[in-house]
Amino acid sequence: MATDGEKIKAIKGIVDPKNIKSDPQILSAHAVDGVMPWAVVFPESLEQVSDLVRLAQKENLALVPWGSGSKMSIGHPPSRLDLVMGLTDLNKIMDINRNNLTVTVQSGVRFKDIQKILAVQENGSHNHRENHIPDTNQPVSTDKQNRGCFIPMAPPHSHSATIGGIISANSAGPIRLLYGLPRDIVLGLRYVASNGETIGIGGKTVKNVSGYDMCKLLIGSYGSLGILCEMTLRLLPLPERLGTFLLFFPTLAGASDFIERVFDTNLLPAAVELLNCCAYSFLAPEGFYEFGSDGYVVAVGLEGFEEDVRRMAHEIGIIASESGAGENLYLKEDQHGLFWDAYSNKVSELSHRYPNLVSIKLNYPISNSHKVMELVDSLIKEAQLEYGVVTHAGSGVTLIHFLDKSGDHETINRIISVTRKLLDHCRRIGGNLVVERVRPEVKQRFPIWGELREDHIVMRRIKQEMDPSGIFSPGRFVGGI
Amino acid sequence: MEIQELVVQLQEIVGHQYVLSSEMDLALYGYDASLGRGRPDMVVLPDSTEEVSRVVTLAYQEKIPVIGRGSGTNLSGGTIPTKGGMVVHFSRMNRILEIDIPNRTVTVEPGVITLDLQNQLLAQGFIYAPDPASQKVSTLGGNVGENSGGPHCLKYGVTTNHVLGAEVVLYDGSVVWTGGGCQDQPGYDLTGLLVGSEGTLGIVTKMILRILRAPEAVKTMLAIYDTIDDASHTVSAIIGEGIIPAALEMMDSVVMKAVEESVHAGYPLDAAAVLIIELDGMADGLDRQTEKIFSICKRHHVRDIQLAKDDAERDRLWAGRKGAFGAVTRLKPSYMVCDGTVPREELPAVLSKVLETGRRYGVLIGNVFHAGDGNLHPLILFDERDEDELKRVKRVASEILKICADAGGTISGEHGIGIEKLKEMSFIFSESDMEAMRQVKRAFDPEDLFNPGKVIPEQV
Repeated sequence: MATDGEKIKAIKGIVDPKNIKSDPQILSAHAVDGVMPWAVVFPESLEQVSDLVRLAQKENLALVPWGSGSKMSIGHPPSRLDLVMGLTDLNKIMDINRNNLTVTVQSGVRFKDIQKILAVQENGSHNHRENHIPDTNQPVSTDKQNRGCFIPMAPPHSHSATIGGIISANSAGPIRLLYGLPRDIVLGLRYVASNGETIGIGGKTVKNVSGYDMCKLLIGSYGSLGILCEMTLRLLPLPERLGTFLLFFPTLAGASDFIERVFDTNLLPAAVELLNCCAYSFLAPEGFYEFGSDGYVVAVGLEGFEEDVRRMAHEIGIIASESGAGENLYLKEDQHGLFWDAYSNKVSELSHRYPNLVSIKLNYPISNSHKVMELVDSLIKEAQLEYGVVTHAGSGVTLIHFLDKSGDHETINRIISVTRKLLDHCRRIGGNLVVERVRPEVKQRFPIWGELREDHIVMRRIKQEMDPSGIFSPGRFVGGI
Repeated sequence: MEIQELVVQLQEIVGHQYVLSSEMDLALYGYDASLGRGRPDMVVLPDSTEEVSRVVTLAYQEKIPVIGRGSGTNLSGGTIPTKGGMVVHFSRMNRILEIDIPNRTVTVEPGVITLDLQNQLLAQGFIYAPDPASQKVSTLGGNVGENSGGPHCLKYGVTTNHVLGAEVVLYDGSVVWTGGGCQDQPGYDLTGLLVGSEGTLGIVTKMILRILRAPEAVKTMLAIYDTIDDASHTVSAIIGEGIIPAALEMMDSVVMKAVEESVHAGYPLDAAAVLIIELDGMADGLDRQTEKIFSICKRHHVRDIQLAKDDAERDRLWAGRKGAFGAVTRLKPSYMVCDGTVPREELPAVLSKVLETGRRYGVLIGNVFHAGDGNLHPLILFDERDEDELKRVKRVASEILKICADAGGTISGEHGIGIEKLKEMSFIFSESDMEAMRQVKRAFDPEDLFNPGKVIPEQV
């Protein structure tokens, strides 16, 4: 075993010395659930990632990959940690193929930067490219004339999140309803395995059954099986027309009735989000329409051909008034963009405003959403906690943010008790629960990955085969894998 | 244990008449729709998960290979027992256990015929989207094993995009559920790994599939071309203009002639190629998209384009496409279908290379394929009894896959690797890529008893 000095020296032989950081400020900014690495290293190529993993394997160093850090709060604290591997310097867009509707990018590219470039790709273009991303903060163009394309996802933290982090976490936002999950959108991956080899799986075609579908295994594996370096995603042409309904319902029953009736039609909305007014108040853009402090908002996102969007807007308006919607706003193009952009990103601010924030995610069969929401409301109101709740209707996923200002012991106990009750309920109906954010000091008291299921035995064996010495994010994943 | 003794033990598990071991039975279960041949030691027909579990436990104790089998429509030799062992045939486990409309799922056993489920769902206004051409006979278990495609995958995705969970019997006979009736289950996506693993990781005994509301409206067009090139450029142009059809299929003159003789779908006999283009979705936007497609086709020198006027006409157009593989045996007694897939912009160049390869070896090639996905299906037509021709056919097939791999594509879009394309795996995967797959295999099946010798070549 080499000394720390020798290890740093070995790393400096792999990456440019300026890309290894060990000053205390940077280390503490890259602490994983309070566990500090002794260095943060930023490789610039797949070869460097590969050499670093070989070194880690040789010296038995524990590695945690890190994109923008937006989802690092998910998982158990690492059982050990040496290096954080920052992937933001793997930031090349390798290939944009407008004809094949695919993009190949390195994992450190920010999601919004890719979307922005894709939005202006013209018909018939194919750019083999390896350029670095221009640093700009302009909003994504939705100019309909040139019909650019897009990755059909709207993940949370879309401004900061890297594509690698999104894929590693199988992270999805509202439009999953129409377009599916990262698992439906990723066509190919390159990752560095625990022996340092670069593994290529999948490809550039939508249909591909050559060998095992290893992409599915890596997507959502949270850095526990390898370092994701490159990915090919499928694209769609930008929709011709966009629009959003914001509907206010005084009661949950009214909102749920509306949603059920929409799903009972032939309409194909891109997103149907149900949230309480508290969640609306922190997710809507600054100075946007206000709906008061009690009740529910349903946001219906519409994307598609002009005629289809027009008809959906018309029929949804009718259903809304029949279901007792109080107020009813229709957002056109720009306002639509403004709303959903805030919706995906303002959640990032919550943890700054509420350092004791606890966020949990429930999953369950889709027809249970009304009952789950009722239970959420009654349990949390009974526990006298402040909370925002958001449901991806039609997907069977509910996110709850406990806005704990006090951070005291007693409040945490109440949050834990509610979490456990919700977990029990979700398990009974075939779902589960994941704690997505809670401060490290109390983390071990929460059921971080919900309840283990019988298939965990296979997961453990896969981890054992693919990372036998446990160098990748050790202890962080389901069941402490 | 002697084979005879094993048969007796299996009979105790599944019932006397449900273990087959006569010479004729073993010959019948020794092949599939590919060219390969094998021979199992016995065939077992279980009726429940519990029986499968006991059968697998016995196989594990005795170190006997286990090969799951549905209807045997496999086109890559995936169901051929090359190392003996027991074929587990799912014809008795063919129940649709639940159609759950509110949760948009169905729970089925693996032996359910794909089209049977689809017909039952359609009666309630719903669809199970993957529609392999063999859907009349193929089983859902087989579709999951192969990650089957079909014409409508262009818009709806392949089988894996529609499987939410699976009950699977593991190597030691234990039974676990992966995934389930809801999305976002924490942990590795084992369901995604099982789909398309060709029965090499476990035996799936129940599946939860995702269903969708049937599209409100459908428009089906037949576009007739005098050159293949014009037809394949039309394909790229349609997608380039921002239209994702539900299906976009191509057929060349060789196949059209054979089809016309058997199905009478109304294809012109003197054309070089036809496209079947189908749009679906909400009714409102479809007329303008149809017009747009008409004008794209005209820009690419279409000879004629017709819109199916009613369901009967639509069914007739599709009957020709779906019956194509069967129809070509009118031309030659045997065919070998390559399943290479390429980025769709490579289609015109790759197609002409494919045809050139056929000419060079003096074999007849017909093309009928999922053009919108870039998923080729060159049908190499021949007579299996002509050994010299068979050798040339195998060389042509391998060369075609190399052409696809070199064009940035892959060697199988939807038919699987089986035994037929083991050699060609090295066209697209390095030894380390394949070693990563072997790790997965070892994690699921440490003794290599589930469908051994398939998908991943032996270590070199």
